Amino acid sequence: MLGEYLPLFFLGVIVFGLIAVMLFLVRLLQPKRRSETDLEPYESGTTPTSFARTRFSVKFFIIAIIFIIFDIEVVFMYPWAVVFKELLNIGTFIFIEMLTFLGILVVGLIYVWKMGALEWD
Amino acid sequence: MVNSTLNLVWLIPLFPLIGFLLNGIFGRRLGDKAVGIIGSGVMFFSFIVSGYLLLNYLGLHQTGAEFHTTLFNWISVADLQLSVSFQVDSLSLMMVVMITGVAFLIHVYSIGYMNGDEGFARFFAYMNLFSFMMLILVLSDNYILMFLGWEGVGLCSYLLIGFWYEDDENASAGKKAFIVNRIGDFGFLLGALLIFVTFGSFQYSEIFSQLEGYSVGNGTVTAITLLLFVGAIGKSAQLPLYVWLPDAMAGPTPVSALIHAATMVTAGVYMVARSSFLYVLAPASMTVIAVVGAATALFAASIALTQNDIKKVLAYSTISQLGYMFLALGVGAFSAGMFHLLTHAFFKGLMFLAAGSVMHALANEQDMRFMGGLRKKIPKTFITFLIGALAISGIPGLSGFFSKDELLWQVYSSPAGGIWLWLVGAVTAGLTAFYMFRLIFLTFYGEARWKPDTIAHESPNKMTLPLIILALLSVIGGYVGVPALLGGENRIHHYLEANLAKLPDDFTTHQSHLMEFTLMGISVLIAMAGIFLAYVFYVKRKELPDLLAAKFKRAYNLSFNKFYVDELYDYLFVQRLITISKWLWNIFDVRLVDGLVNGAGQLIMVSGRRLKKVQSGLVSGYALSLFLGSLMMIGYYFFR
Amino acid sequence: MIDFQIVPADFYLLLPEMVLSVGAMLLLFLELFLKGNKTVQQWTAFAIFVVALSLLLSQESSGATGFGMMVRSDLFGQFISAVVLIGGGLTVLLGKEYLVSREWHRGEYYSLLLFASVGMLFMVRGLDLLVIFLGLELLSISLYILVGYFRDRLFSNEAALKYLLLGAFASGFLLYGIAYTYGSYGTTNLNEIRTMGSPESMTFHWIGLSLILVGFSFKVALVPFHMWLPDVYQGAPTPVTGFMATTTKAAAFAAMLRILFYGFPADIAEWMPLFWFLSAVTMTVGNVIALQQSNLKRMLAYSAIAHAGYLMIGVTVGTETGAAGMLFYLLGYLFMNIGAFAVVQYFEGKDETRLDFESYAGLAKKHPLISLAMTLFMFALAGFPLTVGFTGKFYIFTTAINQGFVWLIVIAVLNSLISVYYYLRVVIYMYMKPLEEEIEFSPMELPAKVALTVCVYAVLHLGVLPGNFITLAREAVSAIF
Repeated sequence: MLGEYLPLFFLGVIVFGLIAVMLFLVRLLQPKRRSETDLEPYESGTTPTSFARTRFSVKFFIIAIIFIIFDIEVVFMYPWAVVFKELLNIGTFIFIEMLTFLGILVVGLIYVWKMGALEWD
Repeated sequence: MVNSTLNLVWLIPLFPLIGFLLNGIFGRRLGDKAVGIIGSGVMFFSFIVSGYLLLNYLGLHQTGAEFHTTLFNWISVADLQLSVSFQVDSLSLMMVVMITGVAFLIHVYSIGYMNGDEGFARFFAYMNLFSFMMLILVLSDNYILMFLGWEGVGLCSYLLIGFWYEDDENASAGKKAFIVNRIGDFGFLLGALLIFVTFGSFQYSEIFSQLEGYSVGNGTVTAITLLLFVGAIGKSAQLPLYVWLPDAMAGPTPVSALIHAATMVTAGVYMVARSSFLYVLAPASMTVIAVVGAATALFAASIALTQNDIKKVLAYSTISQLGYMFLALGVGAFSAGMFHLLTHAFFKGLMFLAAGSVMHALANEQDMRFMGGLRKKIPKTFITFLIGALAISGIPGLSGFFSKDELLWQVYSSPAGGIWLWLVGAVTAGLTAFYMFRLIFLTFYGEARWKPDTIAHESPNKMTLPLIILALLSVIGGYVGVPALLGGENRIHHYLEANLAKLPDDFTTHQSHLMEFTLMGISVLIAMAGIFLAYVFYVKRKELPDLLAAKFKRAYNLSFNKFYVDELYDYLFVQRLITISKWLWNIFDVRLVDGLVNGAGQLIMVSGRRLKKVQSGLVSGYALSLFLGSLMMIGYYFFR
Repeated sequence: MIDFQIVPADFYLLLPEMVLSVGAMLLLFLELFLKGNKTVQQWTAFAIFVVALSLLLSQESSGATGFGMMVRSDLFGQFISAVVLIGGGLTVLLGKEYLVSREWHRGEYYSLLLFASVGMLFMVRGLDLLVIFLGLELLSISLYILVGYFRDRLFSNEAALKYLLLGAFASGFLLYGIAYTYGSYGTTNLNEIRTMGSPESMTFHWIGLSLILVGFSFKVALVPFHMWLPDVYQGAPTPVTGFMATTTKAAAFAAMLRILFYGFPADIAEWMPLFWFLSAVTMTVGNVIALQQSNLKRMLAYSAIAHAGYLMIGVTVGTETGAAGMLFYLLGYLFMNIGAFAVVQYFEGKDETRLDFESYAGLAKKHPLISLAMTLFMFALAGFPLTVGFTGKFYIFTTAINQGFVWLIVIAVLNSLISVYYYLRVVIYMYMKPLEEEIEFSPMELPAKVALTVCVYAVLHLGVLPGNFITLAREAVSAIF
């Protein structure tokens, strides 16, 4: 039974093996000098101007979170729209269900809006 | 069986409960006088009801009758029936009458003794609660309700030991009592659960009715009885769990009298006697009991010889006398053990109260080295104390004589006993007489060695009256059990034996009267010798004790330092437990929140660092444990 | 293709959940549009809990399923849901004073409590692993926020962050387990799994079930999945801690029971040794470490771990009576623990400095009634007779010992005796130590008083007359066997 997974196992071996080989080769072939520049993050060739780990305003995160919610909403609505015709026997039900779902999200939207989460300042 | 009068048994614990509630809730508003009246009044009513029931029971002339009264069903599901119900029979009635009577006297005494104490109402509330729990313990007709009482009296004892809480010693004494009693409770609870597994019930009569199918020496019954005896060891302060009782003397003296002499510590004896039908099936357990009892009796008596604290002497004496009772139970002389329990309650309760009266006279002095010459100053206390001491020494005519003689005789004649156990008992009797009269002579005779500015005065009537009544009981209490040899009928034996188990072979008739008479004579002589020796040592030639102590320094030090048992336990158990607990803590609880202990100021300073830590080290440690746990779960499958 | 029907009865099944959800959103709106006094929110939230509870109890417990066997209405679910809703209601009553004194009294608190309760109801009434998972997530997310409710307090933040990180980790395990189970059975529906009996792949089945159990072991905090609990319990606002300790434990244990006993009845015996081990280790570690604690909240946290160990005995036994014992104990635990936390929150003071044992010194003199209540709760937690702590433990222990788990019960009895030490310590400090400093506490408000009284009454009632409730628990568990 486990035999079915043998190819998968070999795939794993090959992947890890390849990585190991490549890392080994890099180590073997790379020039032997070390400078500060080597350790800097790669930013398309330009010289870094500041420390990479700066703090962002929490507002970015809030916007990002709100975005994700509505993103998922849309992702959910696409398949719903696609199968809607096939499910006409319970069409009213799934229509109301989607409205409920949207309604809950709207409540959330109203809440964050009123709380001032969408205002930048 | 049902009997309408005896159904009133629920009144007996009800009164102290009412007293507890009144004093506990309204105590402070009632004023000390009302509190005292309520506190002792409820005990008086209880006593009246108990006495009435006893007379009724005796009037039935049905030996061995058992009456059950169910108050309500506690737990009632298919496989588990448990009810709050009482059993009235000779054993419980004797205990109830004794408890309510002695408790009433001690409550009255406490009115005088605790006079002016800040926690007067609280004290009486606890005492009432204790009486309630104790009555539940002896009246219960099943092991679980008994366990409720068992835990309850332990708790009250604990509360009352720590009564004067300003004292650090009291708090730690309470702690030791607590830990030791836990070990005992562990045994009791497991024993009760094992009983349930074996017999499917907790009720005595149901359990005992099933015993016919069990042969003598049955393994399960032996295990049950041994576990129950572990409980008894803890509660009744036997070797090796006796260490809490001397410390418990830190509590107020009436507490020592009621809880640590007359009632609670005898609960273990009562429980074993109550389970006597189980014990006769387990000879091995009986032997253990007899040996532990004898060893404790001798061991505690030898410690009592050198103690200077008047209450400590009495405490070790109590341990020793409880050992006596267990010795009797262990050889199958259940009724003799219970008889001694009864008389002991009188004279030991008396002596504790009298000791309290002495302390009262000397501004709470407990050290006998600072007493002396009190005979003329507090005559009532002296005479009553003397009666108690004579009774415990077994001087003919007093209660202790009858019970101790009966006990020793049965120890000798029982097939489970024998000459060696008797000898231990007799030697202990001699030691008892010696240390008791050492106490008497040091306290009441010789020159006054009081601390300066002490004005010895006799206690008020509220305190001396209970002393007198108890002294009277210590004198006449034994006449319920005058042996046939001395022309009596040994009524208490016949009264109790119907509700107790008997060893298969009735041993008391086998021996000759001559032997009984000889042994009685020997034990009386030993007691006399003990008293005489004490007289020589502490009145006639006072330099002798010091000389002897110097000569047998090692033995003296061993006894004086209580054989170093406390230190040993501390090293062996307490320190180990602390180590284990700390070790586990370090493994399972990386101490993240030191900050909280160290205060908020520091918290803010370190918070930055700490928050970083959260992200880097510690949470990943938690996650690692989670991960390893999951590996364990999955690994379980493969290595199952 | 589409073979399921949705009928109005399905919605009837979910009425309690719907009421709670709508109520939670309503509270959010109230928070937005109602300025000033927030007492209205408290009463609204309480009313919602009451309505949901009465709807729940009025439902038939016939075992009817709804939404294509996604949820099931049976007595088992009703019992634990009732525990959850009562716990929620009590927490609503208790929360206000605490939050007001910290100037954090806001509608979101109530709203989040309601959302968490919805999640728990889905957990215990769900018949599909995914529904249970969704319920668990809804609960967890609400709790993450509630734990970090004081967002200006570092402890609160730290607790929430830890809980979030580890909780997400555990959820991952659970979901992974569900995936494996799906892999071996081709369904996530417990009913179908039950009827199917044997899996297609035994290995997947075992790994799946192991991982699911890991997820729930994390939630109920069995050792070694307990590490998060002391920190989180300590850092969370105290009413939230009380809520988490009781309702979450009930819901997680209930879900575990349903999955294990209803979905995989054949596996119980196989798992027994491991459960035995987890139970023994959990109660021992919890109790022994609790001995060392000087902070009351942390002590109660370890006590919660120890109690998870006791409850685990019911799972180990694996019989109806064992599970019934758990249900009854969970009901009792609700009252004694919420009660204890209610007292803790009353005494702890605004800046949470009065949480150590020393600050309880002598409180009995100034606050006799509250101290008495605390004494009762401590006795109950320690398993003293006449309290529900005794009847509950006693019932679990006797059933276990009847099934032959003698050594486990020896360990359990030993543990519960050890535990008396630290519970009683609180009582000793309150009654036997002199008052350290004079601190005036503002008198307890009526709702909190009511909640405390309910807890006291329930602890005593279930301790003295537990019969009906044990019978009820017995009937309830027959739904999952």
